[in-house]
Amino acid sequence: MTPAHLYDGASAVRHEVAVAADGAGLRLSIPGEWEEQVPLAELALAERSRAGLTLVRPAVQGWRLRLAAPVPPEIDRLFPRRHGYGGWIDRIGLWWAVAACGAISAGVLAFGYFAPTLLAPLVPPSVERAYGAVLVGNFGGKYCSSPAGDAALRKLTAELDPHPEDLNVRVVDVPVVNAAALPAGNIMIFDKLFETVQGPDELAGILAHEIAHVRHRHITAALLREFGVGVFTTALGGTTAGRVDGFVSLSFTRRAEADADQGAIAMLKRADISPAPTAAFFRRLGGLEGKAGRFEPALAYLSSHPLSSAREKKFEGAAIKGASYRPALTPREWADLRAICSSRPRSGD
Amino acid sequence: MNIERQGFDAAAPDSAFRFTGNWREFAPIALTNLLLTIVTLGIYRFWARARERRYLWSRTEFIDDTLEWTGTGREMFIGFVIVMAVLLPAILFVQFGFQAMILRGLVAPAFLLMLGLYLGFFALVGLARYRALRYRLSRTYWHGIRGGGEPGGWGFAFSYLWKTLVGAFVIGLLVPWAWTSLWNERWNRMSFGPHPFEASANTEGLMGRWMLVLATPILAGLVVVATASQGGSNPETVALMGLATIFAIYAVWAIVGLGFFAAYARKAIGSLEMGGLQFAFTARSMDWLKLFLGHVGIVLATLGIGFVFISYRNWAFFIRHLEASGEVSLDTLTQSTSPVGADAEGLASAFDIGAI
Repeated sequence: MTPAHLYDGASAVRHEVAVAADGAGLRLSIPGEWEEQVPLAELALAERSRAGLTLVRPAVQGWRLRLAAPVPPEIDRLFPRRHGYGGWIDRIGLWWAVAACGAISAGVLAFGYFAPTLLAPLVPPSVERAYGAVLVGNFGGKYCSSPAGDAALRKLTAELDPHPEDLNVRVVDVPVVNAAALPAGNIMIFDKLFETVQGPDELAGILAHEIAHVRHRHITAALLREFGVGVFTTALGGTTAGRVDGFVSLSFTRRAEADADQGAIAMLKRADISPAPTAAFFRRLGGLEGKAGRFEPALAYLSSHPLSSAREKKFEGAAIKGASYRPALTPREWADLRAICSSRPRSGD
Repeated sequence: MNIERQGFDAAAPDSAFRFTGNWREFAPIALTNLLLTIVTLGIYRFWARARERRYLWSRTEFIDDTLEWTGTGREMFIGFVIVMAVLLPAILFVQFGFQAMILRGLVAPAFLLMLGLYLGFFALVGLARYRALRYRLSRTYWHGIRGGGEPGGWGFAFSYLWKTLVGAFVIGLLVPWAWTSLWNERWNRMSFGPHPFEASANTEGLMGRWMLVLATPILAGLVVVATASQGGSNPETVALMGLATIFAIYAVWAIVGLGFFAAYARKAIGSLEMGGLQFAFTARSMDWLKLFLGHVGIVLATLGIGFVFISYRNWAFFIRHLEASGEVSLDTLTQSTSPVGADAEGLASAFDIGAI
């Protein structure tokens, strides 16, 4: 007979009871007053520590039996040891669990990294068009258009891409120095870019980069990533997974940017347009970023685009010395394109 | 650690609460939790939390027996998944819909909708705090008896929204009122066994410290202007002085803020009663400062790994400064009849916030 504390779950009163193990379970008693036989199947181990053993009876809320150390071995061995990591981890052991979970997580991350690129070409164009229509709409009516400007833009697009009919290249009256590829072949050139770009060849390089994004289906891949793995990991995994996913996502975009630059260089080469002016554009952009100074290489790991100086070298290196390139547009066409937004009534921005 | 324990026993031999944990016992739990959390991309964190609490509660004594944590990782995980399933559409809207509306020129409706969403999220934070507290009480046992609280909490969520907004009005003067009245509102719906908690915190004695918190940036601004007007000509000295001043201002502000928070915690917990027990919290500003500097020191000295001990140190700090006086009648402390919620603290996990 071993002394123990019993809480019956009905009140906080502590009962001093005697415990004995028999074949079917534990026999609890207050000598001369009360006795109860509790089947082993109704008992569970709550805690085993240096202080002793705490048993619970899941069917009775609050029922607790506490045996102080040292617990007699005939009672102790009825309740197998466990580490309390939780469920199956206790069964297979910590290190096996770590190895198994690590392998699965690596698989999930690898899937998140490669699957969007592999799956993107399988998304039918109609789905992408529908999504593009939902996301982009008519761009708030900010499209610029003029007969001569439109013609120049069409010519430039046709020079770079053999199937310009799948592309919707538009200039929009939004004051940012940028260009963007959106779903379903929509490419937006923001009007303010014309203030930084110094000639049609530079614009050709930038446009070629965006067309390459469309042709490599980077946009669809990025959306698959965001919707699928991105949402899954950040929602379920919390901050740890969010951070890991952030890095994966970043390297994913950086790889896409490098691919697009490669594609742009090939397009310029086919169109017989010099890549050197695009290099000059990146040199000017690098001048703006130059404020970051000597921290640049460190920052490159955290930035979504490759460094301007690296891109400048890539385009510079692609230019063939002494080759006779032709201008992307005539001076007349270039002037018309630059003025494409001037006929549009200024919106209140 | 041991010296600290002995010092505590000698200083307050008859405090009803005692913490008997030991960081060497806790370390294997914390480190294996960290390892499993990393290899599961964070999913294990719910089970990690349950293990951690099981240990901390089991090393917390009240009068003659320890507390017991009965919450499980599985229920916290499920609660979180349910909440995420409900919240995800809103999160997706924030990520994609807002952008789509802006691109279509629907700027005003987009921002209006966004504002509505943010207010909704804010109220949900209040709901999360309520439910997290109720969940923790309902999974905490002592002598086989658990705590609990009224289900729902939507009324509190609404109060949380409007009282926080009103508290911020008139340059934040009403913040102490908002905090104490929300504290009362929340605790007055909680119970342990058959006994309801009664909280009656007021702002008496808090306003002075709060005014100091509000005044510090203004005073700091005056100091900066005064030094700048008679500053030296050497630009490097000026820049260095500027940096030092900014650092000093932040440090002073943090300490003043800590002073307010320490007074608030003493006031709020000191106003709490339950079934003939009167609670008290004894941590002074200096104790809080030591706690935080200790956190920083441990994290720095261990190159970051020490962050796994922060929850342990917080709990030990909380219990070592918690006191209760009065009498507990074991006969009348019967089992709680409040419903056991199934949502665990899913909402609080979703917003990454604590209960107290």
